[in-house]
Amino acid sequence: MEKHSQKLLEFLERSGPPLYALLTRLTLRQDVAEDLMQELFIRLSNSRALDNAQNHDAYARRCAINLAFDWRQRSRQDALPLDGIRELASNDNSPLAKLIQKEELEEVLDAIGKLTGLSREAFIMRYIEQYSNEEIARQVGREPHQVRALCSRAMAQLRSIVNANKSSSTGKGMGNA
Amino acid sequence: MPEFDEKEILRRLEHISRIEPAPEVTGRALERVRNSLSTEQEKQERSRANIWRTIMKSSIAKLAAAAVIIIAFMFGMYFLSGPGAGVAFADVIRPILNAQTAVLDIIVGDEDTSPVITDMVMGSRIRRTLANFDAVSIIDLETARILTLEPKEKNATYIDLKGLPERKTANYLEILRNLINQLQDSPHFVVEELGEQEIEGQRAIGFRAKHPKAELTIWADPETALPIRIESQEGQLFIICKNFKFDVEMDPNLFSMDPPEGYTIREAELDLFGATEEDFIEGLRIWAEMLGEGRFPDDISVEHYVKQVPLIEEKFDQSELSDDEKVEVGLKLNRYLLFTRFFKGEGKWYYAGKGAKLGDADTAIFWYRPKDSQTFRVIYGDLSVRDVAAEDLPEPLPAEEEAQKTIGYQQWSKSEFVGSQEDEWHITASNEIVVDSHIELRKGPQDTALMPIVLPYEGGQLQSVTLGAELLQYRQIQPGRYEIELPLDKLFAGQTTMECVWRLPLEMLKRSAPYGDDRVKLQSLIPVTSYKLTVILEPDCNFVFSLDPSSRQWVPFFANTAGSAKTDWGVCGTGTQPRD
Repeated sequence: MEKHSQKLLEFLERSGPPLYALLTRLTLRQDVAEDLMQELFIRLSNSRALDNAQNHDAYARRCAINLAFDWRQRSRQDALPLDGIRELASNDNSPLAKLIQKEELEEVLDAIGKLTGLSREAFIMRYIEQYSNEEIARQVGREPHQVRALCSRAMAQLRSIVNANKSSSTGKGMGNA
Repeated sequence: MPEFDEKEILRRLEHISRIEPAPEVTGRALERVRNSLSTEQEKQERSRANIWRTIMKSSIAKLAAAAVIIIAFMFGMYFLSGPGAGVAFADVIRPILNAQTAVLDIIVGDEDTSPVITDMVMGSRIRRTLANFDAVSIIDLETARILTLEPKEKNATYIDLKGLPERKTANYLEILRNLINQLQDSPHFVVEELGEQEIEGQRAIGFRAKHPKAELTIWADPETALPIRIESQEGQLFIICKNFKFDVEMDPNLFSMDPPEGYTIREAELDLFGATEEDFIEGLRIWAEMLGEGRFPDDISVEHYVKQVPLIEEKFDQSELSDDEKVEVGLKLNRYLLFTRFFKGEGKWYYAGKGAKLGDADTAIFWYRPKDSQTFRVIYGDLSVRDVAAEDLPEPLPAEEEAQKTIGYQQWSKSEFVGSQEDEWHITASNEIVVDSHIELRKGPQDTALMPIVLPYEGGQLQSVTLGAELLQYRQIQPGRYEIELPLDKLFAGQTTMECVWRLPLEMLKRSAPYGDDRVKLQSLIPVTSYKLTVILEPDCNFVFSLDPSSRQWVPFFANTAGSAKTDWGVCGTGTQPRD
């Protein structure tokens, strides 16, 4: 047990901050990200899957992404406690601007939640974590050209999901900036 | 309403990517995780100490646990072996194959918290003991019978196992030899070298063998080739085998199926492969009503179940059930466990019932794909069941289930090439279909680098073939038939994804009278173990999808087989109709 716990703690020190940042970006809630972070590591602690995974970062990221989108499916957020988050250079920090901004981001994140499997994972790594195609390919065990194709298809899919949502719910979409 | 363009999506994504939690908040989150991990570890250590003490005290819990322990690890060694990719792997498995007797320790799940099972193997019989457990089981594979002896209570229980393969074998190790022969020709089975590492305090060389039903890692002494440690992932069960000794002298009396004098004899029956979805649902109901205070279990693995034995014991004691009723409930729980332990569906099962309440009709708690089914069975919190398409599942399938990645290309004794294939059929504005066939090559014959492919339609024209970034040479043999020159060095180096682009006039597809859409021959270019078809409508093409005209792509077909590879996957529709 000690060996497993020690490995997990080392993993927490090394990969905890980026995983927490990812959870914050996917939930837009620091408090929720904190809960999910705890749940993520408890799951990793109770499972040997992390030990068996060839790429620990990729495995933990996949778990984190699933947890975040499970949470998004389960709940509709009612507030945006982004206080404390160092983000978003903006000229307009008014409550209204923040609310609009939040709605815009939620719209895209909800649509990403409808992508599936590897395409969602690659898309998040490419556009939210800003990894290069080569780095993503290395992490998910594919070729860079396959990653490029995956992300490109995911983007097309995302566009149609958002547009379909916009046409089915009036007044929700924010349109082009 | 303006269309939502890519630029706008990118702007928002960039926005999200720039969100950074404050360092003090990150620090707090990490500290919370550290504290939770520490508490969790203490909890697990306490639980480990309690489990076996409790089991030993309770006959009911013993009954529930003993059957589980027997069934859970019964087939732990089934996938111990596989065909050798090279001499080294063959050397490593040879001691297992040649042994007349063997002793080994088996651990299921977490090495540090799970009990150690010791197996002595002689011929068709296994003598199984558990650390800190005052009972011993002798498993006789020839008669499909288990004898469990409890020396303190002088109880002897015979369990007749139902559902074992009909062809009986006289020798447990013979099963492994037979299995190797069966696996040898499996297109799925591949072996990867892991190099040298320190394992169990000694230098070891490793191999990982993969099959859709199991993944096996063997670490062996590089000098003697004797196995040091074997880890197997069979379905969702993780098993470690270690402390091997082969050809040890053993007293045959230790394997006797006759109980000693003065023992009380009981008889029971266990159908290993007979558990149904209904049995599983009944087990979920019992768990929620009797053990979980209205909630489903956190986990449904064997490992979790064994750890919950103290809880089962406590709840049984509190209940007003008679002894007979308790036994009946115990047997029902066994069948519930058997459903996932000897899972007969395709791929993995998924459980999401942690925290869910019995009666919650909106929460999907379990889903799986039955054998040969294209849809999933989803069980909800009210224990209703629905058939659901893959894309409508409560959670997307993990990436590895969507597309199984191979670990390399290997040659075998058969004359055909096999792999898996995903097709994208792009319907263009000029009423033509451009097909991207992505083939993941897995195995091929030893004596040739020329791979034949057959397009589903004779009128199809191959446009290009690439492996990675390299264009490959090909030549036409007959209409719709080609031969591709494979760069074997690249395949062996792990570059196994091939892309064949071919074209077909749309008019070559038959329009179906009952459905009104175009019918597609589902035929892979080479024999494959999985095939997926995606139809994509190019901008300005003359068609829309009937079900969702706003959509641009649709997956009308996806299937895989755990058996032999094939090219004919039937027929399906494109799901399209002419644009108004």
